[in-house]
Amino acid sequence: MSGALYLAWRYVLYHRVKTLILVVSLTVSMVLPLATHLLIERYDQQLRARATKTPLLIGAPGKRFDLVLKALYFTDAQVDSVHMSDVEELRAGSWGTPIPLELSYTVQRGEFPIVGTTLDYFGFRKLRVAEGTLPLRLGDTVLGADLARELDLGPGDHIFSDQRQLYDITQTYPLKMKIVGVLKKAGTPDDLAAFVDLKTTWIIAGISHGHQDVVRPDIDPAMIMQRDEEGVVTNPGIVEYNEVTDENIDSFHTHAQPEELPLSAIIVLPDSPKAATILKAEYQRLDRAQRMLVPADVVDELMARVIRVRRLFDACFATIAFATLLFLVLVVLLSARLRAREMEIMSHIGCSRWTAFNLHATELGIVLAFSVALSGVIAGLVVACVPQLAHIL
Amino acid sequence: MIDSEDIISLEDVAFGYPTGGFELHIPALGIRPQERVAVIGPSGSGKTTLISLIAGLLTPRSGHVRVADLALSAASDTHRRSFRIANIGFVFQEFELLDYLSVRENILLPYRVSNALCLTRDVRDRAAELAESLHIADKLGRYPRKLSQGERQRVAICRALITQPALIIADEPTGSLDVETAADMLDLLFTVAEQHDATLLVVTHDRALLDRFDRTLGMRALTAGIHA
Repeated sequence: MSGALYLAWRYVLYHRVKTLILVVSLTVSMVLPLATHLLIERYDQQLRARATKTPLLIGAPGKRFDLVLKALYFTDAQVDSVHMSDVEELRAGSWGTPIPLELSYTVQRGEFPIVGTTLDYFGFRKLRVAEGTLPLRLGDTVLGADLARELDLGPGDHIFSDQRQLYDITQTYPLKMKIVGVLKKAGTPDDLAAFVDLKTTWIIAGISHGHQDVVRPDIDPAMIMQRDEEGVVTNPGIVEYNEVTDENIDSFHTHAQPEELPLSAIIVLPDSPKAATILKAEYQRLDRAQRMLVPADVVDELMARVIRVRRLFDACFATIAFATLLFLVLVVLLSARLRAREMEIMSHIGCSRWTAFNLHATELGIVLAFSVALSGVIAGLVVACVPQLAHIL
Repeated sequence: MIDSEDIISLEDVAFGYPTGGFELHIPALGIRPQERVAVIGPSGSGKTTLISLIAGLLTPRSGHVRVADLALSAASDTHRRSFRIANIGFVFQEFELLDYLSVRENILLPYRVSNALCLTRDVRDRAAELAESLHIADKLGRYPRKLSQGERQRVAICRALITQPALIIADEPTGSLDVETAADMLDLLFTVAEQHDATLLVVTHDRALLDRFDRTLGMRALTAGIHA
């Protein structure tokens, strides 16, 4: 170790508190912009990666940011519904593959979304099961990797959907869903979702249901309010199932028409660029009750706003950095004054001017090196520890 | 008087600070090797200026300063610094140890701040021997603030001697000491100077100590010259 480096090292070690204050001050001024920059960079990548892989999105007119964030990142934004009839219309048009999404429900007190969809979604997002199977049957669910790990659940376990209205007893009860599989980690919001078949979400919604067989001869007559050729009207006291089992699965049904079955959004995978263009044109018609979005464009617009906000932050950080720099200069000047006698002694002994300068510079260098290293570590930890974007949004 | 064997010689030296008000003129001064010389005089008489000229910390406006065959007055600042670190040992009034270095590292300081000197195992051994001879061997790992006044002065002397200098300059080393400790300090300086064949130049205010020196240089206050 060179003399200046050794002496500088001894100095900063001996004056630990002063060094620590300097390092912390510098670290704070460095870590804030660095962590912000890294986080925005990371979120930008995450947002864009998912958006660019989602060619087209159909939803109800309203806030386009909400629709994209809801459909792609499963945020808790409220969006109006489109309907299953829209999916059927798309299928009939043969311009591409529609993937319906119903995202209105949650598990674990709203912490994690339930994603009602079709098996096409798993192929589209390249989601594979790590154990078990995909949700092939009504009432089945497959958990994202992080959700399964966080709740310590796996195939064979059960999970309840959240109570929708706690004080409204006419609402359906939470649905007890059977976990049939866990997905491989994808590094996307899918890791934190519970996937079910679309029809299962309608059971949670109370649109579909299963109940005691009212045509059985042994049914309690008090449960039957009216029986005629059109059907049977039952007493509300009839037992509705809150779990789909082998015994009762056949009893589940819906009385709703496709145009009454709600969806949060529909992802559309057009068969060709031409098909995409035709679809976009079709959904630009003013009489359309749905709107079609290109998620990548919406995310670009969103990030442009984020970057505008970041510039404001950058200005704040620059001010902090300038203040810290002034503080540092002040400390260096005061330190130089306090150590003037020490430098004089060194000069008497025969220390060169360069060595004296080197000593000060090395001390400052050590403080800066520690600050930079600490800033890097803290910024890295922040980026690593901050949860998935879906959690933030 | 100047002799060709003198280790220090000053000839027609004139010095004044840029701020003015003080002028030092030394027509001729010679100090022989291993001589023990006291420099006395009232405050402001130029004692510190004299030793600064001899150490090459200051350069005269005119005249010649020669120490151990080097014409200091003509040498560059860099040259004077490297000469000083290798040939002159300083003992300061307050000893001026660095609080963030241990006793061992304080003694070895000249080797840490000089590119010309190489810190070898021999040098470390020499530091240990010096500490042993000055009875501070058990304090080598301690920091100066944990030492007594007497121990600190011993460390300062070890630091002055570590480079085996031909000249030891002590600037009022007894200034802050009581009479008994001051006498001990001088004993110590005389002993180590003799052991290391070094010339000793001591600035002091204490006239009671003067008879122990080979020679006394008296500085006239604010004036020109030296009277022996």
